[in-house]
Amino acid sequence: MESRIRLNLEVAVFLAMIGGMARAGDLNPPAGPVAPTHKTLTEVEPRIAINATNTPGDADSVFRIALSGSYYLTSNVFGAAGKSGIEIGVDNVTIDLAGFSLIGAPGALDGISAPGRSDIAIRNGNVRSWPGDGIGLSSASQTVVEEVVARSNTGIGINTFSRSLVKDCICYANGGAGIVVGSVSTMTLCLCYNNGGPGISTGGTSTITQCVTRLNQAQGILAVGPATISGCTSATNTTHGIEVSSTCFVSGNECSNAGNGGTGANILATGGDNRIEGNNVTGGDFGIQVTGTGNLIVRNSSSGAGTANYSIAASNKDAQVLSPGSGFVSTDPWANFTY
Amino acid sequence: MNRLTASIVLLSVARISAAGPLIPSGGPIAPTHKTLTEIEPRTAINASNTPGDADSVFKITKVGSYYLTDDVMGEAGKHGIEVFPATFGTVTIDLKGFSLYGVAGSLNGVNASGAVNVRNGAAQGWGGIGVMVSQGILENLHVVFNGAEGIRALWGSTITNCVAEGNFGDGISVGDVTRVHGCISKGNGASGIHLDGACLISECVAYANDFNGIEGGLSTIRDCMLFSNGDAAIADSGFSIVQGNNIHSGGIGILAAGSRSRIEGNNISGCTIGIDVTGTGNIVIGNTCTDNGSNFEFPLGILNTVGEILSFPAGGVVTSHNPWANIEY
Repeated sequence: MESRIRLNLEVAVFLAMIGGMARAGDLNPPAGPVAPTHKTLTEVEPRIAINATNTPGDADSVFRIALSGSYYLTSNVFGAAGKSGIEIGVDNVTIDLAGFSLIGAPGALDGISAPGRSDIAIRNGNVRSWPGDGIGLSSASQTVVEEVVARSNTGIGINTFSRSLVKDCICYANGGAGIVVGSVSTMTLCLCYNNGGPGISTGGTSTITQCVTRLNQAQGILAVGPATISGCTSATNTTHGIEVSSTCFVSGNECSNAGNGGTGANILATGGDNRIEGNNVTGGDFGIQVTGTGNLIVRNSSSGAGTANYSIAASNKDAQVLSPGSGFVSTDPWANFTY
Repeated sequence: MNRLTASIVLLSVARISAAGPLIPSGGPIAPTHKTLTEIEPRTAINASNTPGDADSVFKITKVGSYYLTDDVMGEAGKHGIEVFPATFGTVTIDLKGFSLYGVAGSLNGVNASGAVNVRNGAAQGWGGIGVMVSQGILENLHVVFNGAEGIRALWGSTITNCVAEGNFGDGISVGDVTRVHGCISKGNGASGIHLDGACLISECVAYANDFNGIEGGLSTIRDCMLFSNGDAAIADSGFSIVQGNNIHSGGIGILAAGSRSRIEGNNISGCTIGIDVTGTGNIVIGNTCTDNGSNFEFPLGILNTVGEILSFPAGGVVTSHNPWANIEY
């Protein structure tokens, strides 16, 4: 009897081993040291989710990022009185909004803030209805903001400081400016409309290219320092289409109907050392108005201004203004036109 | 008995070798895993999360970020994905490379009454519009063979790297304050790109559309390629910059029917008329035309500012010192 039981046990063990071998893969291990072949979920999504566990808020923030790294949203963020939506309290942070929205509440602060920080990137999402700025990076430097829609914030839609890149953003119906960038910044391919301040404002040493501004309550584009502004469309803003102070290169822009509800020039230069070239300006109170001195105004075309197509102060280098009609001949490659 | 013992030992060893370390790591006990929701926090569009209704296969009613997990098959009398209402925030939809397939009698592929961003996918064969939003960011979309427009964005939108082909209406139709960049609009039943307001169009291709390649005003149209469009490659209604475009064959190259546009530095060939100015008060300089039925046409007695037109036959030498001259060659 004992031997029979032992035999049955041996058969059972043998069958179990055979069964296990039949389900198993190749018994010959691959060459090299033994190592796992799977990916962990952390390897699949190495970034850090923004939530109450990973990024708990504090007295003035719903969420606060205290460690450098790459973060992402996993849901919409709703504001609370006296708090920013996300406060970045450390340098070297990237946030992917992942298509989600930060939605403000009465008494809240900015949608995103990063006081005094640097090397901040924010991408791919929406900020709206914050009593402060939508993206409030006004004291942060070296920032990137792209593919963000900022609307209906009481302050500025996207407010950045020096050394910023703002790309592919849309800002509208904000109480202040649509987008503000500080010095040494680049802004491209953005839309700003129906904001309470300028559509776009730059502090200087910046480039603004291929942007559209319209129906803003102040200037379409305002540059208070050196800037390159090219290939933009600026229409029907309350004051000026493009206003520059000094040392700007303003070229290839289409500006129309400045002074919509106010008084304005399609292009206004108040300082010196600006080169204003190859723009087409139509309607408005003034086409191109230069109140400063020492500017170069060439190759522009201006039509239909209510007061003057060109209003250029003395001591500027403006090319002759031609109004030649059809089939004209001119050997002046720098001429400005009125038509 | 010895064989039994050996077998059990072997099995035990095998189990031990598969297990992890038995000694816990230092520090307080805390979960180290990520949840699947953290890996993919967005909401999948499906019958459970976004059930449709009488006029939609799927319907999104909450602000957030959504994605497709499969193709969407249309039904008669319904939109593919409807977003309504979205007045409280923005909805983002990542099509993740999937397609929305319409059927006869279906409505729009995506129908959004508010601010909606749509990316990375296709909408084809819908009875209405392929992708229709009030306002948003649309990119990397392929909208083909829809019963109305391929894409319609009412205002304030950016449309980038999209292809609209064979739609019954306009390929891409946009409203005020919109940027269209790097898009292709081909073989549509109306116009390739229709603009209604202050827009910026750059580096687009419009090919073989029944009506106009690009039509609109108050805009900048720059560095586009237009080929074999039926009526006009560019139909400008005024207050625009039309600059640096390359146009070949089809109806009129550039039709300037409005006023106060600057038409500069375009190259037009093989059209019925190269540049046809029927409006007043435009400036036309530095363009080149060749092999058109008529290279330049300007109505008599109506004032436009036009650089002299210089003709250089084949083998001729360009000797003019007029930098504003238009040239036929």
